[in-house]
Amino acid sequence: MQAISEEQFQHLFAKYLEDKCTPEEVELIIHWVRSGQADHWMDKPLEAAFGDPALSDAGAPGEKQLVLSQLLVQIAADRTNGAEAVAPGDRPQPGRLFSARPRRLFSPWMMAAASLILLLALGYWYFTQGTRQMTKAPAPAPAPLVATTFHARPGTTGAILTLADGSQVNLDSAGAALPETQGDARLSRNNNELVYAGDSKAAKPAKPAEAAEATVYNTLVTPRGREYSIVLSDGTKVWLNAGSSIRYPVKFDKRQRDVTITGEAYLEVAQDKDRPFTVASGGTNVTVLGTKFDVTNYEDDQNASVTLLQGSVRVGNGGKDILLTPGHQVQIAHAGGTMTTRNEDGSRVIAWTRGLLDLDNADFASLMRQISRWYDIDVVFKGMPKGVHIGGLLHRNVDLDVVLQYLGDNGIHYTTQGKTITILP
Amino acid sequence: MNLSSDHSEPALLKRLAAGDVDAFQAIYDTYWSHVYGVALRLTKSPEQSRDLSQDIFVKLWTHREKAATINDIEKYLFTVSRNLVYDFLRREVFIESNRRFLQEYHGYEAPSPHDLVEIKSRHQALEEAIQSMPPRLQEVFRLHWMEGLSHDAVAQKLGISRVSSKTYIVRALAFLREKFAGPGKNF
Repeated sequence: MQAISEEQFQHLFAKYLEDKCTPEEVELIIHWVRSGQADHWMDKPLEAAFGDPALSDAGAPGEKQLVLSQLLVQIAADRTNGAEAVAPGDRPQPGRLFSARPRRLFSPWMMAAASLILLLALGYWYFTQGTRQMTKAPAPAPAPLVATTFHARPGTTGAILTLADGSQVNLDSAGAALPETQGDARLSRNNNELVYAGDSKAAKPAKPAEAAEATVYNTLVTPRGREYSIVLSDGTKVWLNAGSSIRYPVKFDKRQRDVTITGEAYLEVAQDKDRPFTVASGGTNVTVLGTKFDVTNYEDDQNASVTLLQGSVRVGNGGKDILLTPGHQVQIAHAGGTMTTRNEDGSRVIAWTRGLLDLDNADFASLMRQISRWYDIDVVFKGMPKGVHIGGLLHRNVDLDVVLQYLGDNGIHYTTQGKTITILP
Repeated sequence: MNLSSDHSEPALLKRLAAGDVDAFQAIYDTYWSHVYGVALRLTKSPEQSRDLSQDIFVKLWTHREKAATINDIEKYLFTVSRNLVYDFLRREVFIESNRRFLQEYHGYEAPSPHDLVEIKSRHQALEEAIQSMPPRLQEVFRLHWMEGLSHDAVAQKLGISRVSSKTYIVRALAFLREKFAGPGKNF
């Protein structure tokens, strides 16, 4: 390759930026950039380009938001990996929080995600597997494009509290009035969290058992598109995902702590070895002393599941009991109640408590059910995409459009009409 | 730039240096299109531009402590991006498997009226091949090659950039060429 001066290179590079190179000039540019000798020759034109607002380009709809959502995932991972913990208290294990596209910019643990990234590199799909799969497959129907007039906003914090007397308080709005006391239990609201004041045994006057008041129950319900958290009277903290509920006593009994859950909840149970904590959900019971775990029991899923992050829990289905250790999940089939245990990374299961939508951890149908619950939309399956793996994490603080674009980029075909998304083969 | 006082560039950069995610988002909001546009000129690919712009803003975040001493965001973007751009070009753009695409991209000329008539006459034979294209390529190809819309018009209609329209067309033609590789057909 002939020698080239800095001026000649910069002249070529300017042509390159304007798409005006001959095939030979393209070869020259490739050669000189690859050689590494031209790096600083690019500085002047690059600096000019970064200083030229005329080059701005808004990209396709949703593109800016999509890149931002992936950035925020990376930033969350970066912050978590550093000193600051991201709520909730349990710090995800380093290396467990994947970004959609981590690169060598981060420490080696992010590189461990390389196999995942391969599946994720947006758009490359089209021209690698995508093209190959598509050339082999019989011509699919022309796919609808992502551009759609339908906009669904992401879910927000909010819930409906049903008191023992049946009256309801909508917790979506800050102004809603809460009863301050129920019996001798005290209730308050701290930002987007409901807090029941402590019922430490020491503070309580000893009462004869027969004089004990009847237990008063409240129920907190998150509709689709809402999430909420609550601190129970013993200090146990519960995060409720969209489309879920928890029924609990405003003050726990002296001997036991019982709650009932539907949908999905992540619990950090306060230690109290004298009062076991029991979660009932469908036919499943989880008994713990003090621990961190996730319970998922949506009726439209095939299984209920309990995932343990810390401590130990006993999971029973009425017949059999399983003692679960951290890093494991037990799945309970809705049909038949069969229980199976498998390895599961709890920090991924509870990604939603950090505002993330985990696309990797679920089969496609259950992923779409998560989406339908968070965006309060309906999903109809006319076909199940085959051989397509959606991976990564998205911030679920983005509009539905962005999620749909991501799915579209990963080869999912769909149409939207009103609040219904139809998945096509 | 019309930013209110605590959103002035030096103030934003100071907040960024202190790890303020809101400041980062404010900078992103103002400058992403700019970075993305430069990336498009460099890579000629919307996907690679998305990746490169993401890399640049990630670095802006991870090296945020350096922002404290800087007053001009555009200069800072360039400083942060420089080495990333060299590496990205070498690793993803100026690679042998992309050479032909780049050459075709530079050499691409919009179809002449004659080309448009020609392709319509072969519509039937082409239809199957077009339908097997990835959706985005298909759409851009139909608008530009079958309906004769300019890149600007395609870009406006689909809400994509002009650069992307051209990228998709060059890819679509490569796709068809591969599909019809062999005797007879010539694209």
